[in-house]
Amino acid sequence: MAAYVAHYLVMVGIYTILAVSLNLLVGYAGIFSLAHAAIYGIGAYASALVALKLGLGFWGGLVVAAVAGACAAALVGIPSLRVAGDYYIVASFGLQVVILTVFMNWTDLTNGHAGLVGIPRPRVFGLVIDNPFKYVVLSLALAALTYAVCRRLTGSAFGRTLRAVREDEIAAQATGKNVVLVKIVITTISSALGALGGSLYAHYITYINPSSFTLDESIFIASLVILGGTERLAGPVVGAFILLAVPEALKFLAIPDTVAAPTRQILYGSLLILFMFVRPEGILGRARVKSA
Amino acid sequence: MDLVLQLLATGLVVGSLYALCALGWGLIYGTTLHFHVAHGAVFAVAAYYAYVGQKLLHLPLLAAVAAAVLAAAATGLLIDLLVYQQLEKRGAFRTSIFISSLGLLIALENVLAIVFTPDPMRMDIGGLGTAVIIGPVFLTYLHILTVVLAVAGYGLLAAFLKWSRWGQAIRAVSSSPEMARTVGVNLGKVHLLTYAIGSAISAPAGILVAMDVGAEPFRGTRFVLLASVGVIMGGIGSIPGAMLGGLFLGLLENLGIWKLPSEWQSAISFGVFLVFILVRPRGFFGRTIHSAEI
Repeated sequence: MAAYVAHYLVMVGIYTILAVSLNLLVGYAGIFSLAHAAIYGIGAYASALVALKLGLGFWGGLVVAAVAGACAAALVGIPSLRVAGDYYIVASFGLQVVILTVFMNWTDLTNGHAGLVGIPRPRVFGLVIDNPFKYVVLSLALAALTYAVCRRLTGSAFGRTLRAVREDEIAAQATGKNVVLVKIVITTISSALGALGGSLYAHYITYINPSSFTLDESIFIASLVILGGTERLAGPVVGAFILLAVPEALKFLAIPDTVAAPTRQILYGSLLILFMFVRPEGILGRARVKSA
Repeated sequence: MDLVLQLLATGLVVGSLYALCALGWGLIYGTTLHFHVAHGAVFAVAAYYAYVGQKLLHLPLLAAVAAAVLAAAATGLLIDLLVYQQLEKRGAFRTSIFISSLGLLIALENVLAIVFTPDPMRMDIGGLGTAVIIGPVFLTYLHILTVVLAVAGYGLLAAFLKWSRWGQAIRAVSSSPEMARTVGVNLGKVHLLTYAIGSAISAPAGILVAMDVGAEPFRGTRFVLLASVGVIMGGIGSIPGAMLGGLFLGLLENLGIWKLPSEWQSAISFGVFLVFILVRPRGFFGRTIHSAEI
């Protein structure tokens, strides 16, 4: 039971990193991404590969993961964010599809559907993190660090510019802000941070394959953010705590596996619709006033 | 060379399916500015309507398909009436409409997966499955019908928008909702009509795929997102653009196989899309959507 709770907390840490970083885009910049699972996967594969092929340690892997995530996002963000509106939804979906294709089909590098095995446990300050209890500390510490970075960022002048861009692009532009640059920068930062979650996941599970990084996963991460609350940094954290407990709770209902997975998806889908009616700002969010 | 001809023919057939999807989605997006991903669920559910009509209600194929198209139109209309318009009444942001649409897509697809299982449900299509061999090219009558229907769908939609009174109202709302309202166009009614027509145009694509390889619950997501790629490449708000964008994607995917393994199909389409919006963000012949409008 204790190991079970530890596993749950490790996953909460990982999903906190993913959700808080995605919230920088969805909540603070008003840019919707369908590619956060791809970014998560890039982080996981990048750090697993450098660990397996180059023998790079945990910290090195984190840096490589962040850089890889940032590069992928910039590659997609630069063409699509120059144009206003929904182009990024389509472009990010494209990134999601392309990255998953790479994971599955570039077999020389990623080993295809079988995935990568034997990813080493992290060694932190000379200590090998080899059981879930130690990993809880590492996972929550990294989540707290990510949270602190996001807090610093959203509280800064850049954070205010970001909200200005979300509220009214034209007005932000009129005050001399480079709207496109702001959007590209935040997309890159969000992805660099999100990729850290992937790195943490790869070293924790020690085995990764493409099925963890699908479009469904992207939508799940977005659900954490939306249901938890977009307007506050703590919102997605609450979302991660609650929504990660849902599959566990469903296990207690005696439903066969073939029905359980779709049932969970139906629940998430219905919750998204319901929240848009009842509480579009999410559980923790604060209501946003619509400008005329 | 024979291979290229076959790939061209297959590309044209697949492109026709994408074109039908893009026409419907593009009409709705251009008119309402809703990023209606739940269109993918309408696409999927249309196939199951036809399947149920034929297999459970024992209707003749043509009647089952016609009923399915009408039912899909009603489904699209109801989504707008019961979800989007209600949200708009509450002053929802555009993002909220998109999120509710995403929720609808996930929920409806998974309901289909529970009711009908995720396995493909095959229909009886009689002689339509017969092969036609034209020189080196191998197709079925169904494939040829697909291309014919896409061209017919495009022609009908273009004629309707150009000459009918309601079509003109749709174009008016598409070019400027404020102006349209000022001259007395009822925006709510035009939106409902747009959803009905957009769904009816795309439903045949879902049904045709199901007639070819069986109805599947999760196929719509890929189609609707490719439709959005087609619409952006063709130019938002442009009906010929949506048609061309869809055909282009189908041809691109299939001609890509000539040189690359087929697993890379989707990667090719999206790669070209990214380069394309870098070079020509407004598409073949469209207007850009300015942030001020959103």
